[in-house]
Amino acid sequence: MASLIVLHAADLHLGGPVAAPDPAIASLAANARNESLDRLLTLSRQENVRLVLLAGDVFHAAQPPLTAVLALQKALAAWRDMGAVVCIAPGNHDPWLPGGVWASWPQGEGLKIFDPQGNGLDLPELGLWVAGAAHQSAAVQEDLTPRLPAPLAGRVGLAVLHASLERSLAGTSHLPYAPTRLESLTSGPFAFWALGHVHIPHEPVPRRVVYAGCPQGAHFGEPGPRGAWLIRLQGAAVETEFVPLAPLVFADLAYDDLMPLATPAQLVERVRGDLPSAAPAWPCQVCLRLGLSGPSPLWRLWQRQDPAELAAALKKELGLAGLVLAAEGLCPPLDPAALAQRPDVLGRLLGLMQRAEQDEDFLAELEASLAAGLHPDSQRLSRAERLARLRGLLTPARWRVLQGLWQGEGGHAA
Amino acid sequence: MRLERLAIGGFGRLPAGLELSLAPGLNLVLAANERGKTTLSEFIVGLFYGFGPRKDGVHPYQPWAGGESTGGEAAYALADGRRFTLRRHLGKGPEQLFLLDEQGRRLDLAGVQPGELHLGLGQGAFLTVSRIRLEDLQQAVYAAGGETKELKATRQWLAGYFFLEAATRGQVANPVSVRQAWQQEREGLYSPDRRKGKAGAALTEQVKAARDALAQAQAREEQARQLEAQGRDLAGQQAQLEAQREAARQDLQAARQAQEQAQGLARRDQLAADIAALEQQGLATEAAELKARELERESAAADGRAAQARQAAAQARKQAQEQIGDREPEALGQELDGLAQRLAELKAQARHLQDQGLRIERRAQALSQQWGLAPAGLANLAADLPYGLQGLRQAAAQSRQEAAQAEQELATLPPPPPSLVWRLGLALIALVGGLKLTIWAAFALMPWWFMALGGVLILGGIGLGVGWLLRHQQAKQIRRQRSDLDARSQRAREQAQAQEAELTARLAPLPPAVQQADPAALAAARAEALGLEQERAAWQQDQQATHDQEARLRASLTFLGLKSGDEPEQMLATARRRTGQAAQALAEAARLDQQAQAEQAKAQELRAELDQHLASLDLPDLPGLAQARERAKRVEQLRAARDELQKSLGPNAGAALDPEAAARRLQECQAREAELSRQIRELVAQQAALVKEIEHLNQAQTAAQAQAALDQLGERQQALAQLHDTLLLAETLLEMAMEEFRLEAQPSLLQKAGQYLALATGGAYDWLGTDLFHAQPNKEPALSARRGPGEAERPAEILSRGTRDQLYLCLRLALAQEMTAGHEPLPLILDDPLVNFDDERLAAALDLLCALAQERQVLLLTCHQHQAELIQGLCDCRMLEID
Repeated sequence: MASLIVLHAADLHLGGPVAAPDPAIASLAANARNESLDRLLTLSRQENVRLVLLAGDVFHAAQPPLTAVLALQKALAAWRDMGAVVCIAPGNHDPWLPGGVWASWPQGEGLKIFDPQGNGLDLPELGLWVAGAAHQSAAVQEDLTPRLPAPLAGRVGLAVLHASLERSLAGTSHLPYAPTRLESLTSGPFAFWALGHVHIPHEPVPRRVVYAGCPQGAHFGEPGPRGAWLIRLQGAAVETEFVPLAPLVFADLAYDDLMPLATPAQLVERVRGDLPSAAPAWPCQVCLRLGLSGPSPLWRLWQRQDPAELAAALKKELGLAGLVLAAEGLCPPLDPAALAQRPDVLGRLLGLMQRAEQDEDFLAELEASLAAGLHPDSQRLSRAERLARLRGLLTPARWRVLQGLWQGEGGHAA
Repeated sequence: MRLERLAIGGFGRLPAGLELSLAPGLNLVLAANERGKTTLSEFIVGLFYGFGPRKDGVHPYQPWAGGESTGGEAAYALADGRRFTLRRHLGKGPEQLFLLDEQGRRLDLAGVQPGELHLGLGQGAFLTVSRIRLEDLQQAVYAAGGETKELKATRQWLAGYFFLEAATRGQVANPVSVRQAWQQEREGLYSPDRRKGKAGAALTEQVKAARDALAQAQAREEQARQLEAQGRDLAGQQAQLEAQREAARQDLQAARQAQEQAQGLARRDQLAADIAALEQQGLATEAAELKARELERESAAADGRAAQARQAAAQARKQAQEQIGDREPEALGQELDGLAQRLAELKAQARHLQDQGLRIERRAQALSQQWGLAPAGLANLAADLPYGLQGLRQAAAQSRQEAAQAEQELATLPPPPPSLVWRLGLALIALVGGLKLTIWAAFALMPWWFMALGGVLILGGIGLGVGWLLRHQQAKQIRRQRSDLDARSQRAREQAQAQEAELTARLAPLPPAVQQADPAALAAARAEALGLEQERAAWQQDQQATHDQEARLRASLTFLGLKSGDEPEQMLATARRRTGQAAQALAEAARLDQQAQAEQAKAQELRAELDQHLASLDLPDLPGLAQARERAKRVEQLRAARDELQKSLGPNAGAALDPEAAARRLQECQAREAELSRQIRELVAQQAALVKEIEHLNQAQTAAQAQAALDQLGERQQALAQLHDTLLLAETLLEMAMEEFRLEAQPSLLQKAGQYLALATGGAYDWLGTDLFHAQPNKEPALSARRGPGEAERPAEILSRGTRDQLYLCLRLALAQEMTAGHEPLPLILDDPLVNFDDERLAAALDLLCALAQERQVLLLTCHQHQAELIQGLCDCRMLEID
């Protein structure tokens, strides 16, 4: 018996921007979201997808630009021509509003747009019941899962929802809209939960609860491969497969342990090892933000050569579409702890930094003396936040000290 | 650097032409007030750093004694032994400056002052370190009358120099410079001072612009939403109008149907009237028309066939005439039979002649093969040829035989003997010698045997002579015989050759068989050839006669127009064939004439039948029949149209309908439908304009993009704030480290100053502190002193004037000592700085100067006699006179 293949995607954010921190990728970034949508169609065609679940934030805004609307119309027509049924559960970015884009969207054959009340779609020819609910505002605070109607008898239940799981939100910038608990999902009657909202593709419960992630990262804050999931159903048995589709992949690497890297080639090797690798069938371009800081033998190189030239060479060597290189934090390859033992001004300065890191009272004194001169943004922070900020600034300040003061071996010329 | 000589060209109070020769150690200028001590120190500084600008066109140090030039020169030596001469003059024109080396070559200063070049110090630093005056002794750093910029530069240089050289030994950058760089960078990022913080301000402006762009984008999107709502309203209105238009179209359709029914009834009545009118004019059926057309067609066909037969008969007669002309075929056949008989006789005669010619030809060929000559050639041979040839051959053979016989006789004849002339000479010699010997013996009475010998010689000579003569006669006879034989042989050969040539000439034109033939056979053959040629001539005459007869027969046949080149048999056969064809053509023509008469009669019968048929239809002629038929067809069409119309009107048709009312109703419906269509078009146009406007709005930056740009700027602002705070933190900690270093790790400068202070104060103070590297750049550093470890620091302000002078003097001396350690030692120019010292500390200070003079040149300028006496008692000192 052949598997029934379902495509699960979310957070397409059509009409939303994709950052172009390197002007070289401006064109690529401008077209990336539409390209990822085209790839979803290509994947559907290749895999003979019968059902498409779009778990919210299809549009970046409740009133999307016309180009985004046209792009989705074209995609829906393509899916309809393939014979695939498309189910959409609007999210917080594109909530279902009266008179909004979803409320006025023509309900054609093979398309189901869930409303805020929660609906189900019976697909007897597939033996499936698909349930979903839409966000009715940009900041839904209630759990929407109870609104989903239970599957009909004899049907395998699939749920599609834009929702927040507390565990999945950790470490992300996503706000906890439509919060729910994992237990609510796994204890319910649905065999599979197709979720959206968190842009990182992952499976809170393997083969049962899946966040599709976004098909295209928007900026360096959304690094790594992005794409969609293929869900293979054989009866109630579920198999999942993540397919990286994003044509433009952001990568954000920051190294502050560069002492072992003595040559640019070693740096290139390390970066190459940490870059995401593209699936052969879905080629992608990589835009990398590379932060280099701390003591490094490469410091000399950066002192001698034009940083722009170095960045260009690095970009070419790594085959990157874009590169944002932040190497201002590089400093001479020295051990600050050892230098702190020196009796001169440098040693005393590094010693004071060590003391600020270890002595809360000293840091507090420092904060008190600095408070008036800090940047207004810092001044607006609470005292505790300012202390934390100062503590965090000690490391870059240390690199600046070594950059500025050290003129001995490995330092800049006197 | 040590000054060796100073020459005043004219400088303020100093007398022009004054020359001072300085000692390498301590030099003392003792002069009263207003004598030029301070002017001398200014002169030295001015030589190395410039005399400064004029004021109101007059230089402050213009010579008091007059003269246009201000300046002079100095000779000095550096620590490495190099010596230089420095000349500087300030006249009415630009300042003239010359730096000469020991060889008097002018050196290129490249825009720097000699002091900067050879002392490594700027003017401010030089004034701080090298020249110490009472009036600025209260300052740790020379301020040059409060010139903040100069003071700041000197302070910065001093501080940097201190940390660089004295504190960090070159491994750490100048922390003051670093701190200032950080401060500048930080203030460039953000500063409450609006004149600074341009990067932050620019970023703030960008953020503001981005917020404006976001607001504009949001406004555009709101506008787009409103336009979309308008578009939806318009779509609703359009739907309503389209529904109304659909109803109007249905009304229009009904009105159009009513009008069509009324028009149909009127049309039906009109058709019935038309049918009746046509029926009254008379109609004809298709069968009647077909019959009439058939009769007409058949009669016309019979006429045509009769004409064709007549035409064919005429054609046949024409063909017969072309074949045989006007002759009768029967008579012409008889004439051809006679010609055929004559032709047969000629053919028989020709065959006989042909056989005869063949026989003659065979006999001629036999003769030709036998003799190699045609019979005519053979007959033409001369009658005496066969026997003449035979005689020539026999004569030639006889001549050849005679020549051979003569040659044989010549071969048997002996050759003539040789001449042997020497025998004749020997005979003459013997004869003459015998005679001479005989005579000589006779007259000389020689012995007899001489006479005998002479006689023998004579005899011998005679004998030899006779023998030679006989031999000569024999040879002459033999040569004559040989000559005769040669001539005879030659004549015989020439005769034979002539005969053979004649024979060859006669035989050359003859074939070999004739050449070798027997004369009798050849004569017989010639006779046969003559007979054969006579037979050939007779045969040819008979042949010609036959040809003539044939030509006459051929001429007889050409009257039929046959080709004269054809064979007579062929011509005769052609004539016979033409005669036959002409007979057939004439017979066919007679038959066709009969056929034409028959067809003509048939045509007349058919025309009579057609007239009878038209009369039965009551029609005058065929055109009338055609018109009646057309009317019948038109009636059928009208009936079909009437039936179709009746069918479309329905079985209940016939009710009275007003076509005009139906037309008015139709016009009303059309107008309403047109009005609704116009309104819909306007709505569509409005919607298209809205869509275009929305597209235009969507083409601009979206709110999301604007928000992204704003977020990006926010990130940059955060990064800027972080960098600002990082620099502030680093700057603050560096400042703390520098203060800590200053307080806890007393630099060697202050240690040295403390040592000097202990010497100068007789041990009253042994520690000196300063905020030289900490104070604000535009503020004079503060000094403090301490009596010993653990004692309180005493600010200089609370100390006595004398002690303060000692404090500052020691700091300046220590500065000079520290900063020039390992470098070019600077001379110390002390302009009466010791006036506030008490005797004890004055002695201590002068003692200190004596000690310093061991290391560097010291020029002490004072107006106090006791200082001069005191120092002269302490160490070697060169007194310099400036009056």
